[in-house]
Amino acid sequence: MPEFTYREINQEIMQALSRPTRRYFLVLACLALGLGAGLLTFLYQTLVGMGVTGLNVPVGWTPYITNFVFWIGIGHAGTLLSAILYLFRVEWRNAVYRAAETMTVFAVATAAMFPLIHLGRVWVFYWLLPYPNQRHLWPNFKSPLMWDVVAVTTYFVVSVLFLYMGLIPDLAALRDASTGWRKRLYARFALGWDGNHHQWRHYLRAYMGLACLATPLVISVHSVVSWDFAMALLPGWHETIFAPYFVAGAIHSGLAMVITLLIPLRKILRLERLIEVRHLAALAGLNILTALIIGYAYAVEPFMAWYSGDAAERSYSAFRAFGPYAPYYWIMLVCNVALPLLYSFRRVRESLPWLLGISLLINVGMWLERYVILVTPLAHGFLPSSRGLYTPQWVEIAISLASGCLFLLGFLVAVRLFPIVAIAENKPLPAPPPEVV
Amino acid sequence: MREDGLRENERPEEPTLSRREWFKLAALGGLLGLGAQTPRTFDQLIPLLVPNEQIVPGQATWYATSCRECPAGCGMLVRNREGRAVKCEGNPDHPLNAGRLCARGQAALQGLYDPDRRRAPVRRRASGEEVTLTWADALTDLGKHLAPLRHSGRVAVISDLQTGSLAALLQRWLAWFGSDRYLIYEPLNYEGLRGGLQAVEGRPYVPVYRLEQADFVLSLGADFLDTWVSPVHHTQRFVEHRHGANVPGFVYAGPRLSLTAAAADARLLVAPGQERLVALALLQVLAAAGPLPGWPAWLTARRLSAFTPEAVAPVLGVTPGWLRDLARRWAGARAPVALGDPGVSPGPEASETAAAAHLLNLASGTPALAGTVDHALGQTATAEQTRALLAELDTGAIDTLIVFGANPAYSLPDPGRWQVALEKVRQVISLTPYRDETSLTSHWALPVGTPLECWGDYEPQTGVANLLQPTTGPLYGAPSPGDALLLLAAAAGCDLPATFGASSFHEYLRNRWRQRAGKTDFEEFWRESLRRGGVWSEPPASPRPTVTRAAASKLSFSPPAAPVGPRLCLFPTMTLFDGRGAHKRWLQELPDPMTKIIWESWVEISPATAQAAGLSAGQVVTVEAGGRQVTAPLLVTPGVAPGTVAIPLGQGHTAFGRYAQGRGVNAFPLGIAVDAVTVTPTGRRQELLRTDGEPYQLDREIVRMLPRSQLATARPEPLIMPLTSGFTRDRDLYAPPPEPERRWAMAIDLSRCTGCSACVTACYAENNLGVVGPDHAPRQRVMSWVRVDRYFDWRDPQAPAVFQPMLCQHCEAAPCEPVCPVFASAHNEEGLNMQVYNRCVGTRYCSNNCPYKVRRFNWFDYDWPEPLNWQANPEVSVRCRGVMEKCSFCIQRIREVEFRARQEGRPVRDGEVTPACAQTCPAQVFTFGDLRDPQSKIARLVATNPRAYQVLPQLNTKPAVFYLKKILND
Repeated sequence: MPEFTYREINQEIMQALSRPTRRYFLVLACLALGLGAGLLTFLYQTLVGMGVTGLNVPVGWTPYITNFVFWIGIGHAGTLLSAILYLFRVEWRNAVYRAAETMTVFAVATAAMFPLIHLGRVWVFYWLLPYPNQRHLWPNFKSPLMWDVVAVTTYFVVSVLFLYMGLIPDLAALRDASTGWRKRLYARFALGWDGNHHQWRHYLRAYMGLACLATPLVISVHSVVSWDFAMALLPGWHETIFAPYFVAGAIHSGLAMVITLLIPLRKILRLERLIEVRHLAALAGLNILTALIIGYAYAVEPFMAWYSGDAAERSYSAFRAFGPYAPYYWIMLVCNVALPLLYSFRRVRESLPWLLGISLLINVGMWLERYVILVTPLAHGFLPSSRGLYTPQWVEIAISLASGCLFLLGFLVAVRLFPIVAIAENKPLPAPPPEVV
Repeated sequence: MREDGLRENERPEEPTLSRREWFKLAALGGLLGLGAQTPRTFDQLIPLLVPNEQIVPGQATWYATSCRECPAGCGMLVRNREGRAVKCEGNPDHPLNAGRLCARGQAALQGLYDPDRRRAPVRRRASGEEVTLTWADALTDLGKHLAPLRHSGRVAVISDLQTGSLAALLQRWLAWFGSDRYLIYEPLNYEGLRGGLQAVEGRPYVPVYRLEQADFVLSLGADFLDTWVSPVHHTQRFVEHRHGANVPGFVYAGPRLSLTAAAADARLLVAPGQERLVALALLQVLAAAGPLPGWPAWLTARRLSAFTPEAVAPVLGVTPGWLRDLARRWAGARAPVALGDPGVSPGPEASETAAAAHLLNLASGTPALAGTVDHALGQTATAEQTRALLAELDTGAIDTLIVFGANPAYSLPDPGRWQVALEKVRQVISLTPYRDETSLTSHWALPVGTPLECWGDYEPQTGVANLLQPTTGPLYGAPSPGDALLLLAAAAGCDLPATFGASSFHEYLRNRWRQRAGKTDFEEFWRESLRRGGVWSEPPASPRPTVTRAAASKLSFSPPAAPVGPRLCLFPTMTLFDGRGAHKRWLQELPDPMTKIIWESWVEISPATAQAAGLSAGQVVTVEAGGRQVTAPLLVTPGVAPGTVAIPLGQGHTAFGRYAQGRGVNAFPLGIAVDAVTVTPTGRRQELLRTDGEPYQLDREIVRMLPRSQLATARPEPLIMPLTSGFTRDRDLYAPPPEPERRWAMAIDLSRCTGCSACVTACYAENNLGVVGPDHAPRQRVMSWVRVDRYFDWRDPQAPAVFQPMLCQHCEAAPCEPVCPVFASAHNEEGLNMQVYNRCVGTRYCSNNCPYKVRRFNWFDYDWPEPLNWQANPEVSVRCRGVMEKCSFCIQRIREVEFRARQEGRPVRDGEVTPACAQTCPAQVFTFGDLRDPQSKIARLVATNPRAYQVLPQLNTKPAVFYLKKILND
């Protein structure tokens, strides 16, 4: 990072919070329109029935749960960068972690809607929550779906807290620099921060504590999500490798999404000097690791199917690779494993067009991965008589696209309201940080 | 305590309402009254103004009647709840079906409650405009018209097969008009069969054989387990017989793999009309090998020299040795029987198949024919008689034509012919409950009741006289056909008591039955007959049929020759029969048992034929025969003989209600020619609407089979019992639930199952299943709780197609239960896997995790157009959209029996609970009972049977449904 004075850092970051251009508002309006269309579609689906989707028996889950897993996966980069890399004292995290955290919060919020969207009777969704009631009805904690409810809500709460916690010193800086409604907003959320030594001491301890709390969540949330499948008995779902495989996949997609979002964002918000290419390259470097892990998982799956000798497993593996969904499978392999390995070359890693292209394709690949995981085992069950394929209808396509709109809308509004690069942490400390005792 | 709940000596509290408070409350009440302006509608639970004292709310009444969904005339009991008929079941006392019904019988209620039923008389003006009238106005008009026709002889009647009182009334009615033009019209009139029997025995009739006497059955195109003559009767007797002490051999030759063909030990698929060669070759071999005792001397091998196995085998596509083997089996049998029927085909060999088969029976002197009785189908009009009547209509000799029960405008081979004939008839009066094609071409359409609302009688075969009684009040006040005729006669000035001896059909019926009563008290006899559903007697021993020389001298058989070009095979389906089932949505939504096609027509050809013609599956083809053509999607299957083009009958209605209209094609017009059929692609492609996923088992051992020879030595499969004993520490994570008092379980005998799918429709009727319609059915959304899976194995000559009823397995370690986040899928205290609809939020996780894929999701709120909703079983809730549902083992029936047992202070008896599928199964595939009772039938069946196995045992789900392996007769 080039040498900045504290003032320069403040100015660099705060200029991104200036009034957006009209084009920016136009994009927001389009996203809102897309979201509105999705909400109407969801209303239609609720009023008419799940039959408006392409779902059937055997394929009871595909579109919405695919999106759920996808968005939850996206939401893994933030906590990874902010918590785990914080604990490891990785210097380059400072430039990108706030953006990743913001993305996480909106991705998890988007994801959390899908379990509701996919319910047959969404109007009684609260039955999934363990609330005391007169009839002494309690949810079934044997069900992985209940684990999901717990894991995702916990993750969401911790992510929000962690993001907010990191924001407090920055909000105070903004409060001091802004006027009008913004000042009132920041003042309320800055919680009276004045940057004195005591505050910093408590703050850093609390931040460290939260980081320690959030770190296992990065691992646990997607493990729990993977158990939705691994705890079922379908060939293609019932696999012990699912938890690490899903966690690696989630981080893979999350990192790719951070890169995808930051490349245009640093240009639009003129943050090129703070979010440098080397930061993005560092993220891409992590992608190589995750690509290798999921590549291993992809290789283990057919091997285990063959090694188990189980007819259903073998038949499923062949179906996935050569059946009607085979194109998705092969595209997914290329996008998720082959392309990220190109990051091994410094020139690729440090070229913005390459970064953007590959990270976008990783996103596509990771969505397809979840699609393949969802649809192929369901379509190819134990009894040949009751196999069936799934073809998406306009309803789930509209709702899926709308979820992307919701995510982007939230993210784009947030980056204009809150500093997308941490102000405080980019300020080199005058003295070594106080020892945590 | 006193009656008013107060202790002795306690004074009731004084009312403390003060005058002021009274005013306040009164004012408040008045305001509330003003506020509550919305008119309150009351939903009546019992649709009767004056309660009928015979109807006890919550208690079912059963009425015995006869099924009239096909000419078989099975006995039927109809369950009536709160005045509405809600379920049909077989009459257990009935000699034909012994309590069983086929899918069409189960669906009879859908005819009763057809939402497109006619509600009022309609007159069609010359312009085609329909005028709706009241019955009184219609009768006045028609009376004016009919009165001058008295003694004129210018009145004719066409009806479906009617016997007994209605037929008698019709003849008397016609006689009043001086006419005898009465045509009993059935599209499937077994003319070829009758012609063959006429040729051999000198008498045309439709026989009902006693297959349970035979020790070898050879069917030549007679699909007696599908739709032939009396299918439930045949299935029930024959399947029972095949599982008795002396298992009869069974060989089939015919044009397609019907359910009957699939049930045979060996089968030969040959083009229609070629089946006869099998019988003729057998005759030749038997005559040459030194005739059997009693063999007619004139039937020499030389006479049959054209039909040596060597001459016939190449045409049939078998080796001569196959035919000689068959002849050996025939000769070795004590009581063999051959059934020959050419089906719908009117080709030159039409009657030869039946004649050759019957000649084989008679020449062999088989004792299996003893007790054969005539079926009423023998009384139906031949094509010649139908043509004669149409010709008479052409001359203008008939002024008024009454049509009822029949739909000639749909099923006549020449569709234009009907219109032409009608031009010369001044008045055509349709008596029909429906908006069928015939009634839409008539000048008058008078709505009459369906057989379920009417009095009547029907004698399907000698010795079986069924009595029909109303099982519910008449819908829309429709009179019965008999009453409608009497009303017409009265309107024409007829003195009913003088002419008919009765002023209502009910009275007329009773008068006729008085003759049956003989010396016994009539009222007693009548009540008893109504209770039993009819009167049946052992038919008089008929003289043993013999072949006469006189008849035989005229016998000639055309020499064997390979057909020129593809031949046509039109077949009635299990579901729609000859088309009369097409307006019933349960039947439309019931997959054809063999092809699993639903809601449409198809054209079947074999892969060889397809290849030769350059056709492939998924194409839409045009089939042309005799200048007529139909267009339907192509099904390429080895289940049809090479050189055969098979098309199902029953679809292609241009009217007949919302469920029939515009679906598929009507193949009846093709029936005038069978040879030189051409199949040409239209260039369009269309996936067939079918419900099966993969048609093969893929070596998964889902349907297991066992050769009979290994039956004695086979070791029992290891079973994982759905009881505490089924749990072991090394295999199970969770401890077993507490041992229940009862553990309901089911055994399904795959050896008995013919695939007929009656169970599926019975389940629809019992459990209020939604109908998803043609758009959603092929998208794997059919709601059937029990389905009949069909797996092909074309490499297996013994069992190319096997059937497996698949329903909720009520696993003890059910995969659906732990995954449900809200306990909507739960275990009950009797081991049943329950689905709590009210609690279900619709995650569909249970269905995903069900390895048997028997759970059904309500993708929509399925519609029940009025009055189809009247049929709904009040004991079973109707599920809303977004809820999972599945087989409950008919828990409402279990609870009813348990309640009765508790009231009577006794334990539930074994066999007392019967789920709807088990109740109706003509082949008695299902055994249901308490597995914990070691004396129960199910426990004994499972404990010792080397055939018992569970589907997907490797998953350790501990299913409570046990399958018994299919026995292959070797």
